[in-house]
Amino acid sequence: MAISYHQPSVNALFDAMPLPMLTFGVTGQVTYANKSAKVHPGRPVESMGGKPVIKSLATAINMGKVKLPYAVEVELADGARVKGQFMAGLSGLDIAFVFNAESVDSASPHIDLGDIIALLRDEIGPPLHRLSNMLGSLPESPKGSKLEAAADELNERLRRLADLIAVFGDEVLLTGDRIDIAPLVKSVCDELTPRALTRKVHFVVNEPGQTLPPIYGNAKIIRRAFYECFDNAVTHSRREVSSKQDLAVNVTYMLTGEHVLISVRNLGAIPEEIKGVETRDLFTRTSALGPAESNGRLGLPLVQRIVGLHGGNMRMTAVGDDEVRVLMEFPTGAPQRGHTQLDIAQAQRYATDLAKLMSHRKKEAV
Amino acid sequence: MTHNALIVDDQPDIRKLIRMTMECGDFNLHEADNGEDAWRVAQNLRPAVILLDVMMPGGMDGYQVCEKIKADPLLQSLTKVILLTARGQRTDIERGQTAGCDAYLVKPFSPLELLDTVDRLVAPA
Repeated sequence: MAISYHQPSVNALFDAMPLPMLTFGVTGQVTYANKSAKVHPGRPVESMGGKPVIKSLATAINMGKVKLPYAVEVELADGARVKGQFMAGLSGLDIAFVFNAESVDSASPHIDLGDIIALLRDEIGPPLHRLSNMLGSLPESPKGSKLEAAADELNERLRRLADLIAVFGDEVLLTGDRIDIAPLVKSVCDELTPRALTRKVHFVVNEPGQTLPPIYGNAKIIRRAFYECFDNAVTHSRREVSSKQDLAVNVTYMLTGEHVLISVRNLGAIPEEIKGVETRDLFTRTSALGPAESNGRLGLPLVQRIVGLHGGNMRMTAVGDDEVRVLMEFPTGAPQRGHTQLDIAQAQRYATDLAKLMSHRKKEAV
Repeated sequence: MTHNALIVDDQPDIRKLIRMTMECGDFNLHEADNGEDAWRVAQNLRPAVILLDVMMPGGMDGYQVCEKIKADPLLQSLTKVILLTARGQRTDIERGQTAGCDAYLVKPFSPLELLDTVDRLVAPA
């Protein structure tokens, strides 16, 4: 590529353009390519620069034989054909070529999170399902059962990963469902109890001595946050604790100011004794942890995201050697509202009925 | 005797519209922008009618304020509660009935509908 003679500020401006743009000298060599052109998969600098057809075109344009702008379709290095326009360059005898917007859109189709999630489920789901079926059809053996459990665990983690990606998207639907905490806690504990009992883990729920205000949001994903949080506590309880001992997960919920605080704590085998509190990083890399410790790591970021989406926050603290406390804090009541569409609808309704209202009152006065 | 009316909504524009409508009647108008204040004012004011939004931020929403009023020995006979809400599902209306509301208007509501409801519930002074 020949030396660029554009001002740095002009280059910066062109680099900010989403459309690829190149300029060519009279020899057909590329004199400038913006960032979009440099990263384009069709490598237009290589595929267009120095080509006799470009040189001929530059000559014809400079002789006034071709009227600008001149729309063409060019073939790029990857075989894709893109449409664009030749136009006057910024200096000397240069000519410029700018891609049409639709060429860029078709060359790099937009993939959103929904597509990635669908891809993840479509690509990995069926082979995992087949694997589970095959393992299930094997003659019963301790090794086979372990393999089956491992496949189930992998499947579950992928499901959680997909859910995690979903709640990190921009299109999470935050509805205005009214959620009472007490029945929600009971329902999630009831659902998890059979699984917890197989691990000899029991839920101990401390109910507040007052009626708590509701929280508002998406009931489905808030329930999911509670589920993941409690499930994590059940899983974590059994870590490094003799399987003969019965363990408890303590769930406490209370009002603190204008928030509802839900505290979930696994009560370990050692007596309850606070030995110090340290904040743990929810996103600790699993490679830094043992297999047992890494269990459930996908669940808590999911909880953190859901709580955050509803204006709350989540904290996780270690208490002693084998006790972990997870705190979820949700603001009570409905979210603060600004001037929403509802106001407009209400104002329109009022405007429609205002004349009738006045007439109604006049009649009453008479 | 002029009746007291309490308008409760966290949205100032909605309170203003309701005030405009209620000014047509013979009421002393009072306002609150959250459930806790509404409950406190209601206890002191003992209004004839409360126009009460359901979804409000803070420690008490409209349903809970309504429940408290209807559980209060003095207010339950004095104060009529009209719930105003964007929540128009059957379950929401049933929830309002369970809370003991006297009327349930779904937003966007008509000022005529509001006045008719107030007139029906509150006997002329």
